[in-house]
Amino acid sequence: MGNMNNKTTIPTQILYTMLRVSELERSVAFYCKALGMHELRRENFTEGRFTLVFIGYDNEASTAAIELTWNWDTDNYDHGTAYGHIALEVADIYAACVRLNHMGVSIIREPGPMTYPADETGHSEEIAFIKDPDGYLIELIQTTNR
Amino acid sequence: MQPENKKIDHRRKILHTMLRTTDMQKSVDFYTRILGMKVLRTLDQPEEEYTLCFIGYENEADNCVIELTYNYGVNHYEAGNSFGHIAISVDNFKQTCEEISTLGGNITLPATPLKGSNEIIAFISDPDGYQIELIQILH
Repeated sequence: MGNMNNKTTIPTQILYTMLRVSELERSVAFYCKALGMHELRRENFTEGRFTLVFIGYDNEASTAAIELTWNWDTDNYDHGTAYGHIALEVADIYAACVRLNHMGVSIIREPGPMTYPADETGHSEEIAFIKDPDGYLIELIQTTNR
Repeated sequence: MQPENKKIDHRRKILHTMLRTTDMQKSVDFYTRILGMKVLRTLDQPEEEYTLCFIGYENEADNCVIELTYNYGVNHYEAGNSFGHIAISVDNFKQTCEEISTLGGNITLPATPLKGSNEIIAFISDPDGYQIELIQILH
């Protein structure tokens, strides 16, 4: 078996992560107001009874986004234990968490360095974890010189 | 609707999506050999009994990537039904799907044009059953 090494056939870019949400406008408000994203586009599928909202920091051609799927007739999902989280880079996670806390956002892991530094770099990233309105975990990672 | 034309703070970005894997080698093989990604960095934390592997098409500074997490000895997770999929873009859909099939990738939805749009989509599943959507936008 060969490798995917033909340049015309290699996929090129991660476009977005799709998450199913119970209440669309609640989620849109959270990602925009609490996390500073923008609604990039919205598609309604009346026959299929669902709506898609693409949300992110910049236009989809430039950077990855999140696709929120709202199934009109479903308001409850089971998260399971497999899916982890989406991580966002933030200039100051400490200030961000103070602000998010005031907004009533659930902070699951207070901002601070990781318990153990990476063997490879000796560095502990500074992180925090919050929950979105559906309980999805979101990791906030302090900006470093990447 | 596009974001307003304003100064973009390039420090705000989506960095990665994390997925737990039951077999790191199998997952890395899938994302590299079948989907053409690169291993960008790995991080092993024996005290906490997990290994991370960051994998993607380009460097993390400028691009969203996938973080694979292997928890030592954990070989099963509950999929749930809330997480949907990760979508990746493809330039040459037919060839990509054929190649993925030849390489042993599991195509769960073959190439399907989306009604009323200029997109073709397909779905494949990774070794843990996570769905990956392939999208080609026709110009």
